[in-house]
Amino acid sequence: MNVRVGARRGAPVGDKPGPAAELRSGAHFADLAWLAWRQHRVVITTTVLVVAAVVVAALALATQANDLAARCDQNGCPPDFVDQRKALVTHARRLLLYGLPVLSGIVAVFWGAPLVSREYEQRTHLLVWLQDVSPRRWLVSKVASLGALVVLLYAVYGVATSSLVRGLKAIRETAVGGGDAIELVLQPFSTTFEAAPSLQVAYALFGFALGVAAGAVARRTLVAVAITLVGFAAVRYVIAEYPRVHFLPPLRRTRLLDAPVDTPPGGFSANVIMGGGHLDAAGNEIPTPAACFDDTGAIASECLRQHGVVSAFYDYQPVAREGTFQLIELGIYLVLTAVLAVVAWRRLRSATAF
Amino acid sequence: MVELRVDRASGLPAYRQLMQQVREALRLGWLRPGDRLPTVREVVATSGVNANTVLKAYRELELAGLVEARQGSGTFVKASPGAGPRQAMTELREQLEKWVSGAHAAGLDNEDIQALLSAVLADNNRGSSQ
Amino acid sequence: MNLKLAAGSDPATTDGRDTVLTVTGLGKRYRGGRDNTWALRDCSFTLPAGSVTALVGMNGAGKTTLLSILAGLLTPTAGHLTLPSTGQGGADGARIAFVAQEKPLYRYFSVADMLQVGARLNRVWDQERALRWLRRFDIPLDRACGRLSGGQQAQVNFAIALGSRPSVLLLDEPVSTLDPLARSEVTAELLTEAADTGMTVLLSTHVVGELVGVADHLLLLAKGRLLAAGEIDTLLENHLHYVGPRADVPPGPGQVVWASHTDNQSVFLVRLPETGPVPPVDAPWTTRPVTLEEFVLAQLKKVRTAGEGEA
Repeated sequence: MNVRVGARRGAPVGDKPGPAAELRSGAHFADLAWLAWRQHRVVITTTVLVVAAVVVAALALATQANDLAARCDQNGCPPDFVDQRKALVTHARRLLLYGLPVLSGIVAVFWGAPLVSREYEQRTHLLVWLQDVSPRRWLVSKVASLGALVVLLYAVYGVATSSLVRGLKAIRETAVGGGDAIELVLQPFSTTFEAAPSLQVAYALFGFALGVAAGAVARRTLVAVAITLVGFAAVRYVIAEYPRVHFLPPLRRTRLLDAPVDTPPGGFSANVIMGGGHLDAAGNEIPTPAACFDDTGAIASECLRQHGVVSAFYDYQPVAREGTFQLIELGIYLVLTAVLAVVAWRRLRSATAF
Repeated sequence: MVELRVDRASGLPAYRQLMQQVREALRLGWLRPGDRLPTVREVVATSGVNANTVLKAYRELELAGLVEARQGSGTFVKASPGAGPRQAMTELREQLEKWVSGAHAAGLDNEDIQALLSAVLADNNRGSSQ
Repeated sequence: MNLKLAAGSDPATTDGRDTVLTVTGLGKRYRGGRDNTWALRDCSFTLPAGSVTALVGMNGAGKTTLLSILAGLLTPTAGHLTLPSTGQGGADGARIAFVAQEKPLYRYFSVADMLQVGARLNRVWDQERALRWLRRFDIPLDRACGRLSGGQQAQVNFAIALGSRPSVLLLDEPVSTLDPLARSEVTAELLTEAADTGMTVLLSTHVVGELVGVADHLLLLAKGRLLAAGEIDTLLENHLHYVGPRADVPPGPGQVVWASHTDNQSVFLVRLPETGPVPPVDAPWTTRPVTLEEFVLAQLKKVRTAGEGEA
């Protein structure tokens, strides 16, 4: 007897779709973008609202600043100008001082850090990475869709902060006022430097990548958030404090002793003075002889000459270089972002379950 | 139509349990030649056993000549076990009933009777296989 | 040592059916382990197409590791697995779905959203099949997954796995979060789905008692090694109990797997020589068939005793 009972089952092969099944070429970018939006819509919406609020505030202050500057002419400014300027500078300073570093940190901590770590923590990686989408494809699509939103959001934010900076500069041009912190806000290579849209985008992307990489490595949301917070603050602070003014060798201005001091273009406060000292006849830097300080702290030129000093100098970073330096800093952050993206990418290749 | 079930606590392999139930249904007359057995899918859904187990049971029954598979329409009862000596079955049953009454009268309970029956069957098997 | 031989010399009976998955010398060692222990070692077996295989072992035996490798979540340290590209099913070959023990879901997604995840992330999606499953178990589609019970979350996981129409379905402790009634219902429904589609099923469990009739093939794991692999009925028919008076050796042929003795009784579980009918034994000895549970327990006890011997 022929044992053919099994053949009677006439069952369709498992991977062949039945009449009801839908056969597609695979998950499209739009599908993963939908997943990203559906998963993160609360934090995305919140971030957009926060950034939008800051953008509106920055644009309002910028308009105010331009209006205020326009009210001055050759004859001077209206009587209430000083008070109004003071109030405006206080608000602008607060917005730029806190907004510039903190806002890009939001993306790092709330978008980046949980992206991979929460999947591990809630074990949903076992679900989502086992559909017809590889972990890497999932990562790339998700990071790309959220990253595009980050670029857009922070470009708008950067445009708003830059226009506020321009408004403040217009006020400074009026040369009326003082007694407020406008010079502090407009310090070269600092707030104005960071307000550029390109840099705001780069900081946010860097933070986002740092968060994603930290999450892929740590696999615990809280740990990833901590690493991201500390790492982001540290990198932003360190680069702003030390290497930024050393991206290129400073310029040097030399004068003979007793010759009048020549100011750099824009004046001392518009540039960054890196230091100064004395030179001998050969142009070598020599330490200022301690004996030449008199009781008041002044330095006697005659004494210096006796010790071989011929000229004095100061080194400065000209404000005209800000654009170049912004490009260099942009490059640094983009390279860091790329490195972190590679870390996350490599980490997800060995997407072990445990 | 019979409903096939599997007792997980029973030591007997599931496919043998299914075979036994079909045989019993045939013996007791619940299933008659020409009747259709439940489909594999129906047995799977009602008894929670795997389709291959049901298929195996049906295949064994087919090999034993009790059922036949008809292409596309199902598995049908071909013959009843011991269908020939139906008369003899009745007589044997009567004898056994008498014997059981005798055993009960002699003070044996059901468990004793089963043990005795198993022992005799085992001895008998050994005798026939040697 | 002979443990491996026992598993190796008993290759899974394929019944002449196609093989959907072949595993050869599979091993996994986790980096950073205190000692160089292998979570899985020297595992070789095949899964016949359309079979339902039970992966049995104690906690920590390596069941999840093995399933994770088969699902593609883990890279094996040694060995390899082959999935034949199915000729008819399309260019993509065999499709594997895995339902993890944790039954993970996005907590803030509704059940309908979770189905959309399945629909959007798979090349093949059968919404009707997924919905049928959820209706069968009364799962509300608009409920947030975080507010479902553990059992309901498991059902959503099953629905997503079935909706993706896999040719191989891997289930890690599928019914562990279900109540007893749901257990048998889910088992029956899963087996019906398998019967309808010819899907191959591999499920892990440590409850052997519920396997009778559910699985037709067995993979028995202990300490990362395969103790037995094959068709359950064949394995059981190849083993036998001898029960009789206290003795040191069994009264009939067969290699002793496990023996237990009391003061005046001995029970031997033996593996019978290849082929041949059940041998008769002289009174007072009797023979008794081996149930799946007895077989599994004897194999595991044997390994434990061997382990104690080494220690």
